[in-house]
Amino acid sequence: MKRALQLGVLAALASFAAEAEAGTRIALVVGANRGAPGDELLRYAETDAARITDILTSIGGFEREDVVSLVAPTAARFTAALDDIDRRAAAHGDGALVFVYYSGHADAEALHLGDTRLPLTELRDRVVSSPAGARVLVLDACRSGVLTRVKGGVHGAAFPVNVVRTLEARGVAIIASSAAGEDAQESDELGASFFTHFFASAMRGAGDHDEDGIVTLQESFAYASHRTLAATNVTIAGPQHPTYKIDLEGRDDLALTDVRAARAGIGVLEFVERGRYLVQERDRDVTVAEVALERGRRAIAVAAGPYRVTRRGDDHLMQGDFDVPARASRTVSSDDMSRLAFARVVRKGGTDVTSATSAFVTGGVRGSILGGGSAWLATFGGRYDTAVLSFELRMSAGAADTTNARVSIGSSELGVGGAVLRALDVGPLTFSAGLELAGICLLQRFDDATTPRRTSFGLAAGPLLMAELPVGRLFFRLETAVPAYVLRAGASPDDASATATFTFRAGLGVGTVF
Amino acid sequence: MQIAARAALIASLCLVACGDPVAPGDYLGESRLELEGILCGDDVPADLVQPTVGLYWKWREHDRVAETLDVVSALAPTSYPSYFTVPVYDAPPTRLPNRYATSDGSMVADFACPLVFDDRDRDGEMGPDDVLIGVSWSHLIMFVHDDVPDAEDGLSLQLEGTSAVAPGYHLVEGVCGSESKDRVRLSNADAMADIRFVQTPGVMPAPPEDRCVDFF
Repeated sequence: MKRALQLGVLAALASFAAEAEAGTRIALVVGANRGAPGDELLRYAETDAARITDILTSIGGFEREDVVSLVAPTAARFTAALDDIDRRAAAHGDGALVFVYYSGHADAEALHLGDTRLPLTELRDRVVSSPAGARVLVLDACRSGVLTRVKGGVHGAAFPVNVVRTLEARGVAIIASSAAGEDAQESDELGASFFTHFFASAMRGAGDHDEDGIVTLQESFAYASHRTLAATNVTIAGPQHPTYKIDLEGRDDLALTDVRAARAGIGVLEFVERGRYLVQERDRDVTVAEVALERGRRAIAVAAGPYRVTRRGDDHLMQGDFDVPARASRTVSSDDMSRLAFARVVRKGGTDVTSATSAFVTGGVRGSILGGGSAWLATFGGRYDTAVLSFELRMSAGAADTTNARVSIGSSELGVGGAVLRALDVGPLTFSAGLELAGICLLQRFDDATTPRRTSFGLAAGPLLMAELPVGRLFFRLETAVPAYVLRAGASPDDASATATFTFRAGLGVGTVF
Repeated sequence: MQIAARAALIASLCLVACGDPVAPGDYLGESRLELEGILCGDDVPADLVQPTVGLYWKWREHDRVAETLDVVSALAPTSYPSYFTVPVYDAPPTRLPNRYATSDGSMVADFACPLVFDDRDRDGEMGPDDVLIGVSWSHLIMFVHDDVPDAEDGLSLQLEGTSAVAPGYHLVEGVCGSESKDRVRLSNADAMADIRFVQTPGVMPAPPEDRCVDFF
């Protein structure tokens, strides 16, 4: 199904032919997190737009002054910007390419621009009627597929593309991130909308299907639609189908970006091994691109700097740090990556593994309760890790002794309970913090013939902190807790009352993942 | 609202905390006797440091009289008469020879006299620096053993009013008017040991003629 979609896109975009001629590229890039009153506030529409602007100006052949960027404009401001780029395009005539991108709210009839609305048909007509030879409209908005169903594009003159290899196409291309009845979805994990994430990745080079270093509109859409559909198949909102409508003439495809050209401040990450890669800026933890390589090689152009690359396997992740120099290429090799598995992979996501189960045993000390003396405490249990939370079933046993002016008191403690934890992986360590709750049975013996044993029941609850060092299937644990013991206390039943006593616990342990 | 929240919290605590109460670390164990008494008299000594209740054990061994003092509890210096309740945790400090036994051989017991001394050096013991300040002439502490008399137990115990007494401590008092000063009976449940100040601190006085128990 995915293959058929890809082939369909390739066939349709094959008509995106052109003749060689130099020209100017003009873009209008709009992002708006806030839609109409009542629309849920988007988180990434404006950063998506900034990301597209960055790609266009760094590797897309767009001069900075030829890119108009708008953040949360009104409809009037939007149309005024369209007027502006029309004037610029008119100066170049058929030699110009106009690229319009919008990320934000919309419905089947109009873009939602705050309290104003811009009808989709008006936007389409404005782009279609632009004096530029080629016009590209990319909409990343809900129900934007309505536009790709609208008939009536105007054929423009042949247009030039001034990149390394001069390509030519004429006419209009409309790309929508979703079908007519669908929502366009954002991803907190990616920090972007699904479609723009994959469209931007494609333009950086992930979509360079023929490995010629030039990413065309056809390649970008094929990659973005395929990956968006695959990624949204598992979301609650359901699959999102990017759509397109092309009314272009020419014999060649429209080149969007040139990946391999040496530019100031730009370097190349080259992938030579099969796999799905996520590229993130190491310092800011911002996702830059996602590359799915099934064969051959793939290169993406990125700003020179430090990156973290994660390769996703079915049940593990490979992760490595790579410094990309300017005007040079850095090859991503598994030899330079470390393997992440088990619970760390569960938390990281991106694989088929959604949970991890482990068992552990710890030994340590507990502080005195009601003056009964410090206790040796042994705990064993099981842990179940999910992407968000970790759950532990814990059983503990311990003993304490104390001697006062007359008697020695020996205490034995048994506990059964659980803990809910949030884990955070930092470097080689995994830190977990959460709350534990346990039922406690405390048995007291006295070295005095006339004083009977006592058996008490209560609860222990409080915060729990731990640090773990995973080594293969094993992990070593250091944990500490500040539990409050809720027990009935007193010298005799007549003067006993329920009390809460805080103490501490610390221990070392070892565990294994199944 | 605060009262309701507090009540809910207490109820929750009570629900989750059950069973026997947990004994705190300073718990001394189950007392064998809660000795209630009164320290009184006309000769209140001055400058008391630490009045302390003790049980004075005394027995006859062949031709000599042996004695020991089991310190029971210190009392806070207070005004007099002073009422006190002190726990007695331990059995007699040693196995006393020549215990008192009933004639039918069913019971054997030891006796101690409650007294109060001023623990001036606060060491918890009756030493040379400490002085006797009060003694009971009317009541004794009887400790009934849970075994039966043996050959060493030859003193005759005359217990009036009952034939069987549970092992452990009991407050007893002499039966006045009888010829034998070794006749005793169990005191009432609400009876208190009556400890009188001695006339000269540090000096055990001669027993009064009208005493009802022949301990000294």
